[in-house]
Amino acid sequence: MSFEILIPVVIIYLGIIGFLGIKGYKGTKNSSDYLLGGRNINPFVMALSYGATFISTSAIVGFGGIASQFGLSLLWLPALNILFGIFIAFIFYGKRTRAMGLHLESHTFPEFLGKRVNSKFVQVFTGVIIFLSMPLYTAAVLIGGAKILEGLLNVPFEYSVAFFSILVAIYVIMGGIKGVMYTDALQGVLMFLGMLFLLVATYVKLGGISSSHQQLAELSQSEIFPQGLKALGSNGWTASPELGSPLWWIIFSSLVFGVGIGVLAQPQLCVRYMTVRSNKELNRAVIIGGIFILITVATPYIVGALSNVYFYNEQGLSAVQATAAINGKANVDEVIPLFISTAMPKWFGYAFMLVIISAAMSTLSSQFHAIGTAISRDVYSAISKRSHDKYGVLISRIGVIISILITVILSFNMGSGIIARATAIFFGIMASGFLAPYTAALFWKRLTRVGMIAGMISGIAVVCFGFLFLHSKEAAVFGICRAITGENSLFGTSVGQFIDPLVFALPVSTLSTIIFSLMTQVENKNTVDECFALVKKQKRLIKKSNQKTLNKIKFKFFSKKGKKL
Amino acid sequence: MFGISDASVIIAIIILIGSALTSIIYGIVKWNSEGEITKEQLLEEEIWENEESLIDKELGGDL
Repeated sequence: MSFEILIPVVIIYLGIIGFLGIKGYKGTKNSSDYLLGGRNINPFVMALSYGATFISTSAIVGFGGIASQFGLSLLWLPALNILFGIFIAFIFYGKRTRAMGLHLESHTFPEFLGKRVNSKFVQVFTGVIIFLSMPLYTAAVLIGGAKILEGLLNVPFEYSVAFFSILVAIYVIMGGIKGVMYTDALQGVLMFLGMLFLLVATYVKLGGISSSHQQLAELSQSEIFPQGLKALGSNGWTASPELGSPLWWIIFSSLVFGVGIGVLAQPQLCVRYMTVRSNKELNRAVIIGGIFILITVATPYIVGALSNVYFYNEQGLSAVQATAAINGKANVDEVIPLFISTAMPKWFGYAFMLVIISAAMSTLSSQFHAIGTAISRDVYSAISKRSHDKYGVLISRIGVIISILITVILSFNMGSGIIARATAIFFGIMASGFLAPYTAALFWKRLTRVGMIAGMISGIAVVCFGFLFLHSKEAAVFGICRAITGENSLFGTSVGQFIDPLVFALPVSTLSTIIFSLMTQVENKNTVDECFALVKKQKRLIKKSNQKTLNKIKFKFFSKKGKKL
Repeated sequence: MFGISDASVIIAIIILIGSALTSIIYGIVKWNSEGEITKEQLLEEEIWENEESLIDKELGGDL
């Protein structure tokens, strides 16, 4: 790569990021600004920030590489990402979270859950779980971004980690959520344009949509298709694997179910619903969110799978074999960078660098902010009973600094092999522990404090047991099951070892939430009634507002015609 | 469809594109429909009452 071109481009990019960070800083006067952007963020900024936070480097490079192995069946993941992560999230979860959060005066995800059932324990417990588990995921994103810089520009790993950490730290500490969301929006636009070009250019290069898919289907019958995948149940790169086969469980329980549905209970995403002023903004945000996720999430999977066609046409190899031909060792993480450097125009290589930097920074900034506010507002302020309003911004900033330090230390000590596992563990814990209680908090008046605590603890306990003793991928990393039983999983070598622990933990958490709620009484009945009355009243207001608009239109229409109403 | 014959992948593509289109259409249809439902409007019952009486006054009751 030519540094003469790259360096000025990166400097301009960083200059704009710095400007947006300062803009966030100037607009941050109090806790509400720092935590929720004063509840007045533009809907398009919110949607782009949500999407950019959602999509990290590992989603583009890591999952794109995995798609070169597993094929187009992975399209189930972006399909569920849009259905659950955008449509259901914004329309059903977002509106209620915003209305109830406003009434409960909550500023963070843990605070929302805690105030919903009037429990400090719930707030502190949720904050502690986020503080303990999210740095694993954050470190994974940081390592992923640093590895890309190291690979493409030969920047040493330590310097790459320092580059990302210091840069993101500056605007998160200074600008709070405003700094985070403004920069996310810019980064989201770059990611969208980069992915759109990549998708179109790939189809053009391979002869069109249908033609490229047909070539991929034909390749699945050729000798370059991995025999190991066939043994696991694969039916080729353009088909889903055999129902119930190991590959089917890997794809549908871990990737599609875990990530696709687990997105509903991500603290750093849920808090964004509370940053907009009204439901109108959420409705508008849905448009941008839908288009953004369609392009940015679907593209890596399609391009990753189709890269096999390109490398076969050029070199007679599969994508993974092509990485081995260059580096001597097959590595799925190198498929997308290699495809871009060989199949795309040279200028796009530079643009893609910015896309990758943007993807890493946008996710990192939101994670730092979420961890920082969890430890400062949800743990420290709640336990110390100090007024967060008085020292709110300062305490939150200290929390963000602590979260960055922990993440950097972790990233220097975590092996690269644990990146995907760390992400899976975080998503598993969040979905298992919080999805059922959070859903009940929004839609079920009968939820009690005991029910919520039972749902959280049982979900987290089962998913942790699953990671330690059932799911062989994570259990092998921890080694406890092997030390006790001699096997990586209590399922031994059966297909059960491939089933994601979330499949067991989510039903347990749901049942616990329901059963324990039914066994106990709602203690804060008045608050709950007010919350649900508010949602109801909001619907009435909306209905009335719609009727009023309709009446005005009818009035004008009939008036012009000279008719009486 | 698009050179793919596997039913499962075709369903995934339909959900993918369908969800995106539904999101876009929903956002456009609801672009202005929910008005300015702000904190004050949500929390103050009087607003609702005023809205009701204002409409009655302006339009003379039912349409």
